[in-house]
Amino acid sequence: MPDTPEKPEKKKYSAKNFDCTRCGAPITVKYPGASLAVTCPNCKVVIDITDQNYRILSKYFDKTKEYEPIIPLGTRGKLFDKEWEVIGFVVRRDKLSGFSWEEYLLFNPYYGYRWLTRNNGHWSFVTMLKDKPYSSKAALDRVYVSRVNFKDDTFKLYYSGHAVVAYVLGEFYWKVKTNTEVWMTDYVSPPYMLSNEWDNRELVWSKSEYVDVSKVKEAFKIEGMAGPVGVAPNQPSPYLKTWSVMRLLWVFFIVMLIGLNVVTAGRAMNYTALNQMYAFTMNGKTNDTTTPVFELLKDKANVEINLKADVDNSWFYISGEMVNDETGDTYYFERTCEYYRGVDDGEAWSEGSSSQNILLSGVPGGKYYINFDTESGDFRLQGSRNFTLQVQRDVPTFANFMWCFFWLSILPVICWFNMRHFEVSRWSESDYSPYVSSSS
Amino acid sequence: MDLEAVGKMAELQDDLTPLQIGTTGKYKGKAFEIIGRMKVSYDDGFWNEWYLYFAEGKHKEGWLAEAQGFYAVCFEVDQRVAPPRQDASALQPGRLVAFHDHELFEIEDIREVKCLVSEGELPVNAPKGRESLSVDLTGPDTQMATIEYAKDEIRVFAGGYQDFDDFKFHNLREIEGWKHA
Repeated sequence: MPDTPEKPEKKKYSAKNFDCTRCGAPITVKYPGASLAVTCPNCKVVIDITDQNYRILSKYFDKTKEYEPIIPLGTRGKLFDKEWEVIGFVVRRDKLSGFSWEEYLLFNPYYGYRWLTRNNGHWSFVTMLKDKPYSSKAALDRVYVSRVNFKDDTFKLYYSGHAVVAYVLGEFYWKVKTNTEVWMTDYVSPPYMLSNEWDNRELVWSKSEYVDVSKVKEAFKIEGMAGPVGVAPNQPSPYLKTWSVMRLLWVFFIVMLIGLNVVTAGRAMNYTALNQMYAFTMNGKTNDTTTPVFELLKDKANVEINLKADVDNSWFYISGEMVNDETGDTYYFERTCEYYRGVDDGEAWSEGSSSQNILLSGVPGGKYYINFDTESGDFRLQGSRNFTLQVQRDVPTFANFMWCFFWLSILPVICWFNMRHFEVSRWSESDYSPYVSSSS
Repeated sequence: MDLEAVGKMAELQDDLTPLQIGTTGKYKGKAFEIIGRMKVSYDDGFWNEWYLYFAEGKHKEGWLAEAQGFYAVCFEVDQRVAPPRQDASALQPGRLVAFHDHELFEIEDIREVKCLVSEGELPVNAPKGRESLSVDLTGPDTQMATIEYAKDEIRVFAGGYQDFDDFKFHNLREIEGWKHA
């Protein structure tokens, strides 16, 4: 044979057919040049197709548990702009929890291999990486980090454990064996996930991207596919974007609101329009007292009526009306000042307050007076006391600010709760959840 | 495994490669043509080493390693950057090697390989049946390197992986039932 045989270029590509060395059933290898192992569709043993005698690689098969690939082998579909054929199907299981997931091997002779994984009904498209996010030295030493930086993304540790091959079907580019296990670690940064698999001999890194179930159904023309359950580790959050936009808007409006409040507070006149002292008699009543007329400047502003009564273990009640001298518009108010104190079992106590205030908003400017009645009570003392009635015009107020703040915050808070709830669900299956408190 | 027998089988068996002698492409913008091919076998299968001719540039000759849909182009570099032969037994996957401009490369795998078949033009020191210990390394940013410990020489190749589409291949082999997008 010459060293450099001039082979005629073959255009035809043909599948390879042989009989199963175990059960005799016919086996077809569709891509014998690329595949190294194939399963017998009948008895499910794995056969080495590079071996002339079709050596059996793996006899193990679990008769009690047959898995049916939801995308039949041989199906072709277009995903991420390339056409892929499903040539292999693997079920893997977490050794500790027994939780299993499905992996579909995709093939394109130009672009090689990809995987589609199905985990709780969630799909991911997996590409092998040649650039390693971090050295496998760390994996060899069983030192794994909680965060991995890769191409401007930070990935958080989500899972580590032993993954066991539970079931295989189809053809593979390596000599696949059931029951073999790898040490696996997943890191997430939705919609991506970085995984490393290590089996003492080699360390393989891959990157998954979340694929919506509807895309898989459409690509492979699969009808009646069960929908996803829960939140996948790398599922993009539908709330995250809303929340980040909402957060920006919220901060913007709060800043505006504070600015507006500072400006209006600074421009408030805040002057005393009336400050009168009156006497009242304990356990007595007064009727129809009228204050001098006072002037409220500005077209429209608030008015604060401050009441301070000389009460001590007694109460003082006032009911009044502030009347516009020109238009007759009337603002009614009533308040009670009561203050009690004492010593019980050697402990001093007190309750109530000797002062009260009433805020009236949007009061038009003009001349005003106040009419009022009072009443008071004291169980021990008689005699005369004083109270002051003060009218403060255009006071700086935070009530409006607080209300605006409250209403402005409702939507952002809802968004935040949605976002957080989603993240808590995402991490609920992980041993490394940042949301789990140490008590649970 | 009987490498001779496998070799015969491999020769007869089409390996589904999209490349062929005469395929042209670009690596990091530099145009090349495939002029030869070596099919290399190891315990678990085969891969292709395509011999490249670059019309321009420092390196006129290079290799395109093709395995499982990964494509890497590499050029022969000074063999003195490699760990000496007697240390080769200490090499193991996962080990970091200060290699090539003092960057840290990681050993991906170590394999006993054999050149099974060849076609087209090839350098004189790539005969069929040549056996060697091949150490594959990956470096930062999809760089790669291969150290070949043969009976009487050490050869070192360094280069990088490139995505299939970035090669802008022309004159690819037609594969029945598949269209190249």
